[in-house]
Amino acid sequence: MEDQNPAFSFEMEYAGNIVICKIIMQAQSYDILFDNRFMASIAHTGEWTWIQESGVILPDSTIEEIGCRIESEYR
Amino acid sequence: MHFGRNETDISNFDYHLPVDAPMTKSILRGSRPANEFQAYVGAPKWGYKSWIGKLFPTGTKEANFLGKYASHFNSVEFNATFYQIHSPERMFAWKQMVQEVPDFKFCPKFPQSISHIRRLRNAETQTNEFYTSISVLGTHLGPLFLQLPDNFSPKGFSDLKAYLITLPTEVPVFVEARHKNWFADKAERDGLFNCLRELNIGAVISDTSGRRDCLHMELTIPHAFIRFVDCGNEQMDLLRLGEWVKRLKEWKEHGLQSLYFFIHAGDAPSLSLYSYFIANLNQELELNIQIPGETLN
Repeated sequence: MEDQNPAFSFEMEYAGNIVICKIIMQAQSYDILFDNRFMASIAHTGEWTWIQESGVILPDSTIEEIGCRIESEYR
Repeated sequence: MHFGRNETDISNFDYHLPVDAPMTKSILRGSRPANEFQAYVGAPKWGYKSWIGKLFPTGTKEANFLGKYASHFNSVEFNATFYQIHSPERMFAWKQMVQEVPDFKFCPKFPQSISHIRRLRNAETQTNEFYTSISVLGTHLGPLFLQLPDNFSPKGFSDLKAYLITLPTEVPVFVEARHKNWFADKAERDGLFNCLRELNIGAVISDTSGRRDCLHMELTIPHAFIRFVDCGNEQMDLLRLGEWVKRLKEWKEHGLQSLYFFIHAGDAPSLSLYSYFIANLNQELELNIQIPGETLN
């Protein structure tokens, strides 16, 4: 367990549905899974915003919400 | 969640600080008198949109938050370094933004690639890269803090010690332990804090309502790095901060040489906790730290 990358999950609304959003820490970014399906990878900009690096294009509001969750989780 | 914030019923919450650990008294007693006590108070980041129109002028762009922040606070808990190791060029740009405030300090957090992904093992390359990056901050570089993952237990003590021994000694480092077993077992607790003392490394004191075990009151060096997390009840938080002012006054009188105090007050923090704490700290410790939003005397 301790050798796995840190991860946490929460429920959020996406495209009108409630999904389980799982966030998996990588060395310099975070992978995002919705209902166990990889959706995107996001990274912190250093200026307290988050940008999407790859995957399905997510709305800015979704990226912002997930970024806030990450900041709270690892504060 | 904010660490330990939502894990307790504050209606029965005892806001008083625990008594000092024996090591704290010993460390302060043996501290050489500081030429000038240094105190820094700040926030977990320099930019909150909710501060636009209050602390920051209306229309302030995110890229300009740092410069505005540094005109109100003398330090920031530099959590941006947790998410990635920034280029020296990026660090230089941030340094330039605070150049008009000579005493401003950044307190970088060790990167997640070192603490959470590698868990302190085989992290020499990343550590060198990190230190190269933050060295650009020059005189604006404050102490670093290494937050251990929540599940980093005393089982990892040998990894922790082996890693800390390798760190350069020129830059002060503080370690924040979170796993409950560091505090539940006296032998583990003593092992951790004795190790930090021997290595001249500080211990972060986390004051959060749901994890009073982390409020360990152990100073392993005559410098304090405190992370205060609000509990969501301002009156209670003011009482808690008042307790800290009283304790810090005692510590200063007994030999504390520097203080780094960071207030975590949610995602849209009110300035009232900062103002209250700094005003009382100034009065009781005879300091002259700027109160956010007010002009320095």
